[in-house]
Amino acid sequence: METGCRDPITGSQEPPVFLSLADVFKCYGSADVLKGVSLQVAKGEVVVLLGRSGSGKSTILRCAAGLETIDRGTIRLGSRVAAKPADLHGRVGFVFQQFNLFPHLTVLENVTLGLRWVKRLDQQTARRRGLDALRDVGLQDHAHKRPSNLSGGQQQRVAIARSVVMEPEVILFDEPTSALDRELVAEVLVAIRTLAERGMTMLIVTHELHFAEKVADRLVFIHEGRIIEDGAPSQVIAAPRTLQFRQFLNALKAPDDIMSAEAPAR
Amino acid sequence: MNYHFDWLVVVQNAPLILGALGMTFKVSITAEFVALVLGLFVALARLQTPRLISAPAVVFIEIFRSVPLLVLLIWIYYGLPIIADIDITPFVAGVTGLGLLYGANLAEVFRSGLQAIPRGQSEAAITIGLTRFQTALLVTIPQAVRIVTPALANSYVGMMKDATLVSVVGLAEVMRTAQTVVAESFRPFEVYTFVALIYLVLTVLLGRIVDLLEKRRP
Repeated sequence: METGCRDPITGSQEPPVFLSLADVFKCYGSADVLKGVSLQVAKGEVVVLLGRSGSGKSTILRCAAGLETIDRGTIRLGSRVAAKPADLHGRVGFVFQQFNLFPHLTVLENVTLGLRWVKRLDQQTARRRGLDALRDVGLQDHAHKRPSNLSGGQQQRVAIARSVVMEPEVILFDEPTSALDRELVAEVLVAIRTLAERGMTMLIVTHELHFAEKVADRLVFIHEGRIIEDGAPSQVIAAPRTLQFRQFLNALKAPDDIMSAEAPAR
Repeated sequence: MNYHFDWLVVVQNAPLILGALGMTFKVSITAEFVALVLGLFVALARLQTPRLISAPAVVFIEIFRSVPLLVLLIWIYYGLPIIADIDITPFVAGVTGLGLLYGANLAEVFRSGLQAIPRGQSEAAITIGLTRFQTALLVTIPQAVRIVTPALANSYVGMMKDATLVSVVGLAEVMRTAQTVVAESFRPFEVYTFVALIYLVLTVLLGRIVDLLEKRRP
């Protein structure tokens, strides 16, 4: 599997596929969650993954980060095949829906933990890089607070900084704004967009359709464990090929329609 | 009842009995330390997926939570030297017995603390690139310890009281010293009342300290 994928002499001229899942299967007990998912993310590309709840989109991310073992298929990162989940740890960043900051550490310690213990940087260098990463998400003034003293949006930005500071090859976002109050969503999306502008390779699960249209290079729709739409956002949204995706788009827009329809009656 | 109280016995022997508190604390604090280390390791082993690691931990916990402390102490002090050909001092027997028994109990305390830490915590640590060992050491254990600190402090109160049982193998702690005083003075009521009061005061004091620990937690 490993050989013959790229020409080692001339080097690749096409944008290299960076993260690739090939024919990945995953089941939990008797529930088949992924039924042969193949997905490629090129270097510097931003891919948004859409799907209904339970469609398997989070599972794709968890497999790609080495948080789950896969039953079948291949996950490749850079030029290497990840033979076991641990091969992905430390190379694939992950931003969780629930932030998962370490509550017993300060904001800065959250960001520098990996620098100190994984990258083995000395305290001063780690501190400097940690503060830089916090500045990038606009939180350098909160470095010495505990995560519990920050808003949800701030916590998620810390989580982004914690991930970015480790210089992962790709960052995965698992519904990064779904746990946030509406007014805090924008600040997190701005932080993600800034990363996109810097050329960070990202795979993002989100329901923020406007964000996806603006930031994503590609939009992928997963339905019942299979990818059934894959293309440029404007194109995919304007002309869905499948009924399931059309229904999904309608469902996303539905709350607004219902509210505007019912508002005058009340 | 025409018993004549003689509290002078207590006054005369108070320095002797209170002096033995040093040994009570020495044996209970040493055993507590043993129990803390043992309990943490057994709890970590208990939570591993491979049966080869978790099963011995389960067996350890079951055994030492089931055996009465008095039986365990006597077995260690009088029984073990016969087959093992080793000389066990009362102090070593006391630390071993208390340490094993409390180790098994604290293992369950630590386990509940470790299980209270959301899975997302270790997942976040692992995706950063920390090893499983680093994750436990830097992320899960520190949080679990915070959760169980009051329970650990309470366990020490129990340990201090249970250390009286080590008198049975002849360790000269408070209870044993009181027994020798009684043997000479024939004043069990006065002397043991005094011992009870000592433990009452100590327990109330330690209880206050535990309360403070609990309040200080964020």
